[in-house]
Amino acid sequence: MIRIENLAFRYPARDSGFTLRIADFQMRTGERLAVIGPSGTGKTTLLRLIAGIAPPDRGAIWVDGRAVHAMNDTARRNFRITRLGFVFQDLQLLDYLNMADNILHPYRINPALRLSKTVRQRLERLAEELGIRDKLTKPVTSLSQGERQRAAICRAVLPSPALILADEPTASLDPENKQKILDVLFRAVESHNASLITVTHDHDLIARFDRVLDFSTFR
Amino acid sequence: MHHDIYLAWRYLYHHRVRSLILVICLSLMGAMPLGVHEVMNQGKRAMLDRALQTPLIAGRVGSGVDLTLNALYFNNPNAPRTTMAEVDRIESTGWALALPIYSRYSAQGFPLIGVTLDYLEYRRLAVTQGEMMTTLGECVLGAEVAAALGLEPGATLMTTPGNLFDLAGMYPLKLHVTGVLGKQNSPDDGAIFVDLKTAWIIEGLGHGHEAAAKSVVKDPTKSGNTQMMDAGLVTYTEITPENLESFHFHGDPATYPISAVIAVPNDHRAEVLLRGRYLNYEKDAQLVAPLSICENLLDNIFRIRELFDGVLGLVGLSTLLALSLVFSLSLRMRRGEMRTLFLLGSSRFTMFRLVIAESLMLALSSLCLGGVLIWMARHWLSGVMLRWVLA
Repeated sequence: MIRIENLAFRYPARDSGFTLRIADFQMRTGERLAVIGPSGTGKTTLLRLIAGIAPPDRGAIWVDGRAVHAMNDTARRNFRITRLGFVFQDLQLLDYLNMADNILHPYRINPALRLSKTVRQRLERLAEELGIRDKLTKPVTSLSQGERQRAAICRAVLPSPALILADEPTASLDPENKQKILDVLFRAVESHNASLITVTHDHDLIARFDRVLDFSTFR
Repeated sequence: MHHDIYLAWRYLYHHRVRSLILVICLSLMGAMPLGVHEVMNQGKRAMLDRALQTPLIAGRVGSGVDLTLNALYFNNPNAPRTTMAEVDRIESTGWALALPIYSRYSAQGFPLIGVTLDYLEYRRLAVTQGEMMTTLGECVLGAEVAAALGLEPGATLMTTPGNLFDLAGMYPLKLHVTGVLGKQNSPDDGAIFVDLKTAWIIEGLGHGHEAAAKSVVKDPTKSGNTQMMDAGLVTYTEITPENLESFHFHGDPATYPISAVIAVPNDHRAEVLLRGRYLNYEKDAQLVAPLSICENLLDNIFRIRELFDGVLGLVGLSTLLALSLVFSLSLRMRRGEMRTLFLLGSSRFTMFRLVIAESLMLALSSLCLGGVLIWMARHWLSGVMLRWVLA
């Protein structure tokens, strides 16, 4: 599913001199991987590199058999939109849209996705599964943090991606809600037979993952 | 494209107060100069139209502007008066039709204009309700007067006395409304028309009263056959079929007052001859061409427009700069949102399209609001400029 070789990446504007280096990493289809490690070790950067949001300085990244590192901007964007689902740490929901519009937003801003009746029906099904169906027409500003997390997960899962990348999806939640959100994420992944990489600081949760990647060893 | 419009609409609706302020600023910026120009042009057009329909005006020597404005707009009841001799003077030449106007009096706040039926015919004023006035004491109302006073044919109205404390002066006369004139969008709509003789009755030059024999008494202070009428002589304040016969005039009709005479020459030659003839009367009368008087007047008044345009231009420029600043600050504030769009897969071109869609919606709304404002200015303020000029 994912293969990384001799990866090196450094933020050009950062003064820290930090460089993310991964010599070799592989992940199989359907695997659920937790990425842990101290802050500033490049966990989120890894997700961004896999998603093609940022191109690597050196090395190669293959996702689902496609060479992400060799793609141009448009191809990387289309690949990200159609094959990957990203749950951002800060959720990236827009205040001026209601929950349904936020979930359907990628369909409205990228021609690679087509907003059809089927998509709307799938949204309703998924929202039902995630327990947010009655909140679809509500403005996101009126939602609880848990509901906002579910909306972000719903948006990531809706295009049926092969890989879901979740950046601290349980941050700032109480233990009970953390488990619930993880349940939701796992259910979505299982129902779509997708792979999952989750960045987390919660060591209580890592037992539920198939594999754990500890970034403190990468530094 | 419909997704861009939808998202732009959602954004603008979410920030509706900000959007509304922007729309109001933009529309005012466009509508103010255009609206002012439109109102000024309408005022100018209305004034020149009226002047165009009035070839020449004769009157007492003095201010040509006062004479013209009074004859066209009935706006100066105290303007110097001339006499019916002026009408005779024009008619005797055979070069022009003479239409006397007497605009000294008013009734219930509206100018009361004494004219002959020729004036109404010349101005193409036809009654749309009731019938034309035929005898003394009758009047027809301009369309605006009828609407404002709620009067219909069959109603009556009192003329306004010239001076309440002048016991020897004119008394109010009860007028019978026989008809309402069709709307002409001219000053005639705001006037009440009576026959010239009715106006002179209001003036006191003509009157009706009981048979004098009933109240003739011998003057005890004088010897001989000196007789006088006592204060018990009833003077009528309403002209009815019963007392119509008793109304009569005193003095020489040629000395009866009028405000002005509209002269309608038979042709251009007659006009030139008539104007030449009046050059000889320069000590007691004048003949003016309303069009040139109005054009000169408007040229002087509308010089202020250049200053106004300059001020509006500066205000518009500074508003535009302020709006540009607001727009660029707004884009800076929306960096987070743009980043979200990028992360969700939007291209730079899509983001540009979204901003353009929002800008176009704002511009379109401003255009609509501006159009409405200009329309309102055209409909509700069209008379303002004219009133301002005449004030």
